[in-house]
Amino acid sequence: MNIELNNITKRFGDLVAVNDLSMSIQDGEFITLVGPSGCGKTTTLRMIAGLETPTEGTIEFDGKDVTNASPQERKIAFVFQAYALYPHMTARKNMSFALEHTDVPEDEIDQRINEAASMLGIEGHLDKRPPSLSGGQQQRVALGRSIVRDPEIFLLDEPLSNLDAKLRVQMRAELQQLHQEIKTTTVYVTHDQEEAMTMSDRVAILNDGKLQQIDTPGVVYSQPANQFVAGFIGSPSMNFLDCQLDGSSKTLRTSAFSLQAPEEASEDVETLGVRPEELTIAPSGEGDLSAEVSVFEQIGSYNILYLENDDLDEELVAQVEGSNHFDPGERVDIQIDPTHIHLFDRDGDAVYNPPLPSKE
Amino acid sequence: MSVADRLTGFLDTDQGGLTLAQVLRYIAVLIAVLFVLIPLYWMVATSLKDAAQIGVFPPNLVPDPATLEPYFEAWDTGPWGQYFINTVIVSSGATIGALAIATPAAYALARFDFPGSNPIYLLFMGLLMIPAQILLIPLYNLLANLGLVDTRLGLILVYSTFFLAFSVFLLHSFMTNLPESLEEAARIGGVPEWKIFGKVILPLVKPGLTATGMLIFVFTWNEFLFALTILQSEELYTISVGLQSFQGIHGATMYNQLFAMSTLATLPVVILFALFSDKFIEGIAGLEMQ
Repeated sequence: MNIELNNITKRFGDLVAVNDLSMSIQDGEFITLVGPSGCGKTTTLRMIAGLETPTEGTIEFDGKDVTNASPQERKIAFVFQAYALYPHMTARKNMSFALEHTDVPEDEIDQRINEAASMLGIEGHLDKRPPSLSGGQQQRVALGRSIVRDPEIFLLDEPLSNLDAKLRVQMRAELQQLHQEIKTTTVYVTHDQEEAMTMSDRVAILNDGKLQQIDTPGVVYSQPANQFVAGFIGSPSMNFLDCQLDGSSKTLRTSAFSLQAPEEASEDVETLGVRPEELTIAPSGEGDLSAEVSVFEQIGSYNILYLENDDLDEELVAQVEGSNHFDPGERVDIQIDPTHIHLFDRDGDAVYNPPLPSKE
Repeated sequence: MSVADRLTGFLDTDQGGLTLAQVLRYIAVLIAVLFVLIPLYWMVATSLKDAAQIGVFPPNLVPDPATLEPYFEAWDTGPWGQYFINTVIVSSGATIGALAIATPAAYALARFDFPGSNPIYLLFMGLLMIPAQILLIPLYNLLANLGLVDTRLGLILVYSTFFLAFSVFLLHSFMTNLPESLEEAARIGGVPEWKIFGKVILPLVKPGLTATGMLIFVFTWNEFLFALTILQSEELYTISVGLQSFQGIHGATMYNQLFAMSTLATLPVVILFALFSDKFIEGIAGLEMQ
């Protein structure tokens, strides 16, 4: 089912939770709404579900206006952050409860529950109550409760946030697999940009109730529309440095070093953005700048350096290969590839992004 | 080991002993427990004394001899079996009546944002502050107009009304503590509102219903003022009214018989708490967590 959000705004008193948001979601697409706390992502999801009514704007499902339709009229399933399982009912009863009010025959309800339980690996837990299930099992029951209703749209509100790190990664893969199997339009809300990047067909980044960018994970990472998106997507975050463009020599000047500016760079450039993995360690004396390692974080497959330079107000973060080790206080030379920089104007809008990496 | 050494060891936290603050707390708890238990003990002890032991000074702390005679004598002074039945009917009716009205009212006030919901809730809170004595005459007049004076139904209605605000207040607190997502999940699934209330909300507020119900039951079981005013026929008396009339029968009060019936009157409440204490504590703890 296609979802169309047309200029929706939601106000709670004086607070504008969602501000003039428009978005098209295609049938079968997995789209993630991501942003910091209070950015309006859950409110948007609740408006799609019918649990909140937009103050302004309309919502359409397959071209039909559902702005004022009740949740049950929308053929959606909603997985809540805290699962919202009924603690006094067994897992099986939790899954069948909503179907008991429909014209679905009892044997078909059983069949659907068994199929969903098998898909989610919870066949052995159907007769247990939620309090005796682990977080991951409760999560699966909540998903199963949604699946058995055979909805046209799945809405998931931070469903993995209550799980531990290992289980979260496992469930992330399972959710992707599930979506590939059932191909239902899915809107997923998270504040975790890694979840958004790894699971989605497209990612919508929100801040202060406004849509900042909506595109594929590759594009929002490589070609962020503005400084907020550039800083929010990617971990560690992009480095930002104040800079000026010397128009005559097409040179970008920061307080510590200069770089050849790309052709597209314009006079109103104010900020230079460089991703940590684009800061490379150069042989001594051959880098664009020299810096001192203040903190060395050993991750394993890669390591992270926090770097300080006396001429820079900002701390730089570099991501280096796992085989590179440094000690705090050590000086290193850093090289910046001018073809992989990002430039932003004084409003924070991107004026230059490197081209997308081509698929090999 | 000397007493001083033992006391030092008792207070030595390094040796797993207690701190001074803990000792003082235990002493305070002990005093509070004695404050409750001593009158109870005195009631039971007096109920086991014969007439000769009543009024002696200094009083016997332990009945000597202990006898059940006051129970048999007291039982014969009036239709106590009927009083018990009346009390069970009135207290149960009032509890069921108050909960039946207060539970949906509390749910509506806790969960549905309709015009006037806040003023209505504040009105309920305001009702809690009205002393019972002020309501006595208006309620009596109302019952008289309805022809319900000197009926068990009249007393049940008075108690239900009187405990309505109290019940709404307690149950409202329980219901606001439940996550709204439980109802939203059911609503999205198309479950009708009446079934959400009956199958999702009610089972989850069971500890709250038990705690509220027990408090109403105990209050109404012991209530005297309204029962004395509304009930006039002896065959409709509740135990508390029966105990009062019992004093009058003999001119001089036979305390051993009075306490014998008081002990019997206390037993159902003790049994009730023994049976449902877990649920009651769960319910009260649920309130405290908010």
